[in-house]
Order: sequence, then structure tokens, then C-alpha cells
Amino acid sequence: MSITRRKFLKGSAAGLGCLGMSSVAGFRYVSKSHAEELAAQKVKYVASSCAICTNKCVFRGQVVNGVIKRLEPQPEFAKGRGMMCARGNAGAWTPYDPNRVKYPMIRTGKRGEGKWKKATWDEAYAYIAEKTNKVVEEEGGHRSCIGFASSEGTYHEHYWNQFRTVFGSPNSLRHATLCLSSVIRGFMAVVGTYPSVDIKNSKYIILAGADRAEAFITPDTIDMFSDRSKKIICLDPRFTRTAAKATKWYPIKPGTDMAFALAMMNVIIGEGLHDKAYVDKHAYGFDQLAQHVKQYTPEWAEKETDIPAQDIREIAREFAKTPNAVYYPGRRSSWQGNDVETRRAVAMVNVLVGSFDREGGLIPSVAIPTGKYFYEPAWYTNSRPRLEEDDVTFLNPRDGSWVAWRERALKSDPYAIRGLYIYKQNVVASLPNRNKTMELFDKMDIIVCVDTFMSDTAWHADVVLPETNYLERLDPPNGYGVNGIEPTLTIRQPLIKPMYDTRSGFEIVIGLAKYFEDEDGFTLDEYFEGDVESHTKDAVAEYPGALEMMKEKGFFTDGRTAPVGDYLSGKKIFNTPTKKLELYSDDFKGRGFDPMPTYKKPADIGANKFRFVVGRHAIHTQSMTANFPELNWHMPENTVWINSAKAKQMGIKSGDMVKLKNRDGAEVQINAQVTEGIRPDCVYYANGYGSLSKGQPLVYGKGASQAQILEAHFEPISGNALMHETIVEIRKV
Amino acid sequence: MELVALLEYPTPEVADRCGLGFEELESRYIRLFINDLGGVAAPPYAGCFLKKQDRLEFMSAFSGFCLEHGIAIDPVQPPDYIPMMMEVLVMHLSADAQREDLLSLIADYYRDWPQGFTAALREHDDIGIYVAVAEEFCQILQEIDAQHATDPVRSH
Repeated sequence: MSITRRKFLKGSAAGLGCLGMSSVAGFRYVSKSHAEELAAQKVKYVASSCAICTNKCVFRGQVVNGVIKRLEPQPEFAKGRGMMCARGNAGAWTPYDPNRVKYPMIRTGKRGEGKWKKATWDEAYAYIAEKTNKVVEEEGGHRSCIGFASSEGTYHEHYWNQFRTVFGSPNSLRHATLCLSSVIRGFMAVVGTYPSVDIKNSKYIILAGADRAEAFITPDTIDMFSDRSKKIICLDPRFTRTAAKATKWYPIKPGTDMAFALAMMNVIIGEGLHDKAYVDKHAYGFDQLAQHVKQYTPEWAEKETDIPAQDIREIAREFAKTPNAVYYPGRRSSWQGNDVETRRAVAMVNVLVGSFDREGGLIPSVAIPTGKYFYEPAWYTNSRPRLEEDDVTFLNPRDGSWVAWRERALKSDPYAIRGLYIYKQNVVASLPNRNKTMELFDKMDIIVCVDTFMSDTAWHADVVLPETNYLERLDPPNGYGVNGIEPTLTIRQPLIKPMYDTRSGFEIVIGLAKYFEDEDGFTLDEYFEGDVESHTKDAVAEYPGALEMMKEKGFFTDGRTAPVGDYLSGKKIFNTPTKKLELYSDDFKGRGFDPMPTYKKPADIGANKFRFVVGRHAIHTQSMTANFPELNWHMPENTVWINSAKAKQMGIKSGDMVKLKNRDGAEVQINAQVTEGIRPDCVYYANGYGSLSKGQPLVYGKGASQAQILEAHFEPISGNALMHETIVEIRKV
Repeated sequence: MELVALLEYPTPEVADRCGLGFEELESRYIRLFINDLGGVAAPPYAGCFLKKQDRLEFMSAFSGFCLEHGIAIDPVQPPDYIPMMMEVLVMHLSADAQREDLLSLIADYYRDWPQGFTAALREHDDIGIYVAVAEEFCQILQEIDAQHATDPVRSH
């Protein structure tokens, strides 16, 4: 080392010779500030919206001297009602997290080894284009050989989708089939929409697995649990915080929710408790359903669900007799093979008591329509259908079916996938059977990942492109997550300037598009017009004052709320094949499915084995926030819940290290948490831990990953991954 | 200023001086300062080494101090980016800067973290170049203290 203190001071003095100029020679980061710059700093407030969960709550971000200090709730935002949860507040630290991805990075070692070089954007784009164009050429010009994944709710996601379409690949994969596709499909089949719930006005709520005291903490969570006049029935194999706050908790046997719903219908119809006028006027197939559910008595259901027959009977009676009762649709993942049918059964219980389109019940969601973002499509002579097209009955072309698609991709059936472009979806940590995902990655010639942190997926990519943090960029108006009963458009505005060498999603795809051509030799950036600012203006052009309101308050609403009763009054038509609420589906029958939900007993799991169940917890939003220091300290590591009686038999105590092994042979090691709060035949641990990425230090190797232990199964009607079809053995290590 | 340059992303020249291949130095630099197990092993952000103070508060206060003293800092990095803080210190070492300001600056913003940063580098920097930079910086701070302690006019 030739550096000395004296040299430092000497060099400093030389640099100081230029003081007084606005740009100081020799200095990279500091300059003389002007009075107006100083005045512009101090304290300012910027209205924007949260990105830590799907709710997109609007806040006023307080920025002091150019540093974000806190995110205060915007009191006028209807959904937030002056509330900003702890998770949302933790977001204030995220731009400053030292573990952010700060520069474009190109892998230099093996995948997952963690050897990178910093690149310029052009170097990164050129690298991606060279690799991609090579494989496309090798595949005879078929651009379908590149798969595109993206996450829900990110406001720049549609630019990513635009890039995919003009690039020419049909293979789009989103999070929906790892989440609630089966719920949506089940409710769509019966009531023609996936509705919201009027929690505030509901007097009796059945929550089947939806952990509303942990998953999302919004004012309607408080509405649900603070009003003691409401009766809350919780069905969950685990004693969750929702169970703790419910009037009654039933640790239902996993996979038997349909039995519970069918038995409720047996009682409601059998005792003539259904809303006859409502059903006669609005429902289709009541007589067939009445006949069908006669076999499903509470006594039969008791044997299936482990819920006493008398309790099922009482719940059914109370539910039918209480005005404004609702069987909550949930916003959770699918469970087992007949999941769409289970959700249909739940929707039908609601229909029988007249809950749909009534106060306190299921309310058809409404949105504030925005100006369409239009772009020219690109046409390619070499085009192929998406990979898993024949595997799923109701396949959404944007969402795809992740598990089905990956199975096909692994077998190159019917064609090879050679590359993955991933926008902010942590595929490695969220897709069941992580070993298969890694196998898929091994087959790829090029993996590109856009993210703000080194997720497990980014860690295994070839090129990581750093997106600006949500507090640093302008995001166009979006209604996702805030539509429903009080529809709103939200916006994101930069609280601070983008740090490091990061770009917004729009800037990233525009830059990338310049490196690709269509069949006619036009570069793909020619398909993109305008910028985020102009798209923002265009989106709300038809609402005078909307843009100004969004910039000032972070949201726009024209005061409309979901109209209750429009379907019942005939003002709107039910969006089902019969234009009625369908208790019997000719459409399903025609497709070879059961026209009415028909119970299929879950397979016996075998002696000394456990069903692995998933679920939310209050601290984190899935795998996204587990590495946030401000949240992680509450729960530094996950533990596996094991029923105390079962644990005693097995000689396991809390804190013991245990090994879980599923039927595919995948294993995890994790500390045990012995508890009364879970059924003896189930085990559970939280999502977000056991990371493979050294770039997520707080969860790297800490606890266990859900993706590692979950077996990969999917349900063929909606394409949803099945999250409760994993059977494990446990042994003490 | 040379210390600042050494803490920046490495160049082939720096790699030569360290007797390493450029890619090897790049990889080590990234593990120390950009992404690796333990988080970034030695994050080049002062606030990450504070024991008692909230990092957001620290950054905001430091940024405010700079603005009040006519210094604008580049928003491309968090205000507690160590090379940037070094530059701010260098500006305050100028002949025409107020000594009281310098002492106040050091007392408020350069006390709690340099040792922690150095310790992190001692633990993780197996090349030694970055430890040397951090140790040098600590010595400079000590020397400034010593100068002012022995100069009653300056220490005021």
C-alpha cells in the first residue's frame, strides 16, 4: 500500500483549491449548493402508494433534507381510513437497504455461486440480446422458446407484458396460479364474478382458511374483529391469529371444506331456511342441488371434517337466519385437487341465503376505468401456442399455469424453452418443488431477472437488472388491489431521486427493446410510445381534475361506490352462461366436470405422516419482506409447528432440529415449535425463509423454504398449484 | 481523495497494485460492498454501523448539515455513503472552512461508525487494501482531533 495519511491530506488540499465553484473539481459526490436547492430540501411531503402488499395503501411520504423519514397514512384514502400498517411503514427503509441491487450485474461464476461483475446498462442489454438471439436462431426463429414471468400489482408490469408480446413469445406466467385462480374460477362459475365482501355491514362471517388477522392488516380487518356483535366462524387446521379472534375456531381436516359447505347446504335446504324468493328469482338449478345435497348430512360431514355434526347444524341455521351473513371467499391459495369445486360450493352457500349483491354480503367489485394503453402488436410467421395450452380448461393467457408450464418446459414438450425473463417474481422461492425449478434453470441458456433485491431468483440469474425502488419512481395509475367496494385509482410518485444505477420498469424494457428486432427489421423500441408521465395523463384524461388530485393526494376517486342490488334489480345481468346464479352448471357438465360440487374424500396420508399446510403470518408479505431488517427482527427464523401430543409421541421438543421429507424425496431441516395450535395430522411453517441467496443475508440458510418442501401438483380446471397436497415424514435430527 | 477513489468500484490499475486479476478484485469488491452473505459484508454506508442512532435520522441530519453549510450531496447515493462523507470532510478541511464547523461535523457524524466499518473490513477484506483505507481514514480523524486538542485557538 502506497497510500498514506499525508498523501490523503495533500490530495485534499489540492482538491480544495476549486471551492467556490458549483462543481468542485476532483470531487465526485459533492458540490456547492445554492440557496434555492437548500430551500427545496428541508421538509416536503409527497403523496404516493405502498408496494409492500397487494393493497396499495396511499400515504404522504415525509422527506427531510432529501431523506425519507416516514410514510404517514393519507387520511382521505377510503380503503386506508387513516391507517398505515407496520409492514407498510417498514417500506421507508427499503431504498436505503445496503442489500439492494444497485447496478446491472452479469454473472461471472457458476449460477448461484455469487460471482458477479458490475455492468453498464448497454453491456447488460447487449449480453442478453446476444444470448437470446442465438437461441432463437437455433430454435428456427421461434421466439416462444423464451418464457416471461412477472408479478402481480406492479404498476410497470404491463410494459413487461408489452415487451413480451412484441418480442413474440406466448409464454407469459404470473403469480395467479400460485395464489387464487381456483377461488376466482369457482366464484365466477356460480355468481359470474370474483366479488368483494361488505365486511363492515356483515353480521356473520365464515372464514375458511382466510387469515384476515395476519394476511392483510387494513381497516376492514379491524371492522371484522373489533365489532363484538359480529359472529366469526374460523375453519383452519391451525390456531392462527384469526382463529384467536374468532367467535369459534374449528381445526378442520384439510381437504374437507367442501364437505362442510355441502352439509351446510343440506341443513339450509332440508330445513327450508334458504331465501326462497331470492333463489326462485335469481338462481338456476336449485332443484338439482336440493336433491344432490341430501346425501351430505352433518353426521356424514362430521366424519370427514372432524367438526361435530351438531355444530355444523347450528352454524348452518345461524348463518341462514342472520341477515347480512357471508361465507368469505378468501384470498388464498388453492388447497387440494377439487379446489374449484370446493369454491363453487362455498359460493353456492352464499347464494342460498341471498348473500350475493346484498348489503353485508358479496358485493360485485367495480373499478374506475382508465384510458387504454394501446400499442401495435407485432406479427411473426413463426409462432406457436403456449406450452401448457392443453393442460388446463380455463387457462388465462396472461397468467398461464406455473406448475403445468414448468412440467412441460422440463420435458421440452412440445418444444424447448431456452430462456427465462423474469420481472420481480421470486420464482425460486414461490413455485412448489424448488428442486424442479432449479432443474429448469439448469436447462436455460439465458436467465434475466429484474428486481430490487437479490431474491433467490435474481441470485440464480445470468443478468440482474436493478429496478428503481417504489419510492423513487413515477408509476402510472392503477386500480389493482384498491378496486372493490370503494374503487380508487392510485399513483406512485418519487419521494427521492433514484439511487445507484437503477431504472424504472418502463426504462428497462425500452432499453432492452432497442437490442431486438422484429421480422421486418424494426427495433422493438419502435412499438413503445410516450413515457410514464404521458401514460399517466392519458390514463385519466377523461376525468377532469383527476391528474391534479392524484399528484396532490396520491389517489383519485370520483366518489362512486359499488352499487348494491344492481344485479338483483335487473339493472345488470349476471355474467354466467344462464344469466342466473348457477347452482348447477351445464357448462361444467359439458366440459366433463361435475355440474354440482361432488365430494371426493382426500387420500389417506398414512401412519406417522403429516400434511404440510401453508398460511400467512402477520410479519411478512410472503418471501418479499422476510429479509427486511425492520421486519425480520420480529421473526428471525421460521419454525415448524408440530402438534404437542404428536411431538410427545415422537420425542420432539420445541427447539429440536427436525428433518422433513416429502414424497418426492425433497428434504428440509428446521427447528420444531411444539404447539397445541395445529392438528395432529398437519405441520406448518411460514414462507420467506431458507433462502438460497446470499444476497438475502437475514434469511439465507435460516429456517426452511416452503418451495423446497412443497410437492408440485396442479388443478386442471383453473391451473392453480395445489398447496395442501404435500405429505411429509418427520424425524428428529 | 485517493482514499475515496480506492473505495470506489475497482479499476484494472487498482487490481494491478493489489497483485490480483481484475475479475478477482471485482468479485471480492462486490462481496464486500455490493452483495454477499452477511448482507454486504462491509456496507459502505455509515448508518449501517451506528449502534444507538436510527440510520434514517442520521442520514437526514447529515444531509441537513451539508445543505446548511452550502454543500450539495449527490442523490445517486444515500447521504451516508462513506466515500461521499469522506469528500464532505475534505471540503471542511479547507483553509477557509470554519474550524467550529469541522469539529461539529466530526463530533456529530464521524464518531460512531468508522471503527465499526474498519472492524467489518478487518473481518472480511482478505486482500487488505480496503482495511488499509479504513484504518487510514480512522488515523486521519484521530490526527484532526489531536491537532485541535493541542491548538487552543483552533479547538476554541
